[in-house]
Amino acid sequence: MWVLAVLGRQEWLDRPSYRLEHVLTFVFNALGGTRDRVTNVLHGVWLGHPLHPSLASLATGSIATTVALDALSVLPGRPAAEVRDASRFARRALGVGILANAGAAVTGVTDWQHTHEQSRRIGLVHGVLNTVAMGLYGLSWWDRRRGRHLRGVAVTAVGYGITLASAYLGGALVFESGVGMDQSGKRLGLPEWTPVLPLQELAEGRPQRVQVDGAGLILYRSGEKVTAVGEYCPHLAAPMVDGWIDRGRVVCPWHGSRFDMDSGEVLRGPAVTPLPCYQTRLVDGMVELRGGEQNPVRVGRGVA
Amino acid sequence: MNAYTVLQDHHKVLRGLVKKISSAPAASPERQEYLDELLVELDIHFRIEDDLYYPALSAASTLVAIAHAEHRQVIDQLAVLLRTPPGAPGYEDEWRSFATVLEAHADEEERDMIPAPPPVQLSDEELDTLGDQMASRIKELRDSTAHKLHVRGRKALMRAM
Repeated sequence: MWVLAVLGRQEWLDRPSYRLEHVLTFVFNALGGTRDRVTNVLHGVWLGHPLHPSLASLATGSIATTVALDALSVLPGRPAAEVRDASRFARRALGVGILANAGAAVTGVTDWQHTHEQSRRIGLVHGVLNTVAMGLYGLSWWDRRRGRHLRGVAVTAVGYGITLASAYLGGALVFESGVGMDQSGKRLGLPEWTPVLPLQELAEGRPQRVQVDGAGLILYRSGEKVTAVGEYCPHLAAPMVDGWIDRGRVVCPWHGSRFDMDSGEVLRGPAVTPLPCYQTRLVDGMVELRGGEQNPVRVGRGVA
Repeated sequence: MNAYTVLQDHHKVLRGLVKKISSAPAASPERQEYLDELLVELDIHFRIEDDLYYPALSAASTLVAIAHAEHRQVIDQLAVLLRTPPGAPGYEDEWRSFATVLEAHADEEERDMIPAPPPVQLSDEELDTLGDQMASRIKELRDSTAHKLHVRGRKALMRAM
């Protein structure tokens, strides 16, 4: 779609977007010791996938309900009681939509700050459009409260048009750029112990990539302990061979997502899905691997 | 001076300070002085990269985006370090985490962005001009009392959080 291509090329947006990220850096770090807990909730670590799309769906659905009830309230020839009820429920649906929009904005900006290039530019436009729409919904809610029903209906309709355009961009970020999708690549399921590398070839602080059944795996050494994980971070496919182990956590080299070194569970976002992680053992100085995630949802797209 | 040399020299300054800090006792005044110096140099480093070096390499936009992400990770870990009291049991661990993330960023930058990868095309003259701009910006910021106060104020703010 040409709109996405054009927006994705707007490199002049990078400067203001990094300025905005500096502000966000300050805001999030102002949360002090609760920063990681708050950002994990906002990213959707607890949910296993991004929280933002759920709130965005609720927001869009509430506004769509408002528009439908508005249409009912302005149709000619409807009974007065029906018009009154439709108007009242429309205002309530709009209120829910505004709250859901606020939630979608907070979760969206939390995810957006860790995006790159085209996704970042399209995401910025998506956010600005939603902010404008949100302002219109606020104005519409106020108009309705003050009895200016028709003006409120018109303003919501304009806002909804903007929301739909913006939702298209949001959908493109997910389905075309893969933002929020698991980008860890091919996941192996190893039912048997499989030898991959002599321990002596693996130095502490120098992770190594090995290939098993066509999938890349990364090995980290901490003393005699070896951790084996997938090749790419599930967030934006950062090469985990550039990552490191910090106090029992595998750290993504780009955005600092942290994963439990024994299970691959996310301890700190922006990643929301676990890092593929394998059991390891040493047999006669050889590192052997077994296990790996067998996620039925992924069968057919890369599980060996 | 060539931009690559300026950047590598400044990495050496940062690495030298990290080494001095690591070898000084945790709560010693000497260590805090080195840390203050590191914060000033780190701020200078990010400024010359964000304002001069990365824009010159904008054609390698994938690497520039990664570099920005790494800066963010460094700052986030710095915030954790600064709000941990130097006498606290976890301080050394937080310092090591910070030193690791900073070193990882410097290593990756030297591996991937020095020299500038294709499709970036920089002539020797352009590299010299860029290097001169970076060197003079470093000097200007090092000589600036306002910049030192700015960094100090931000440190106090981060510590208060």
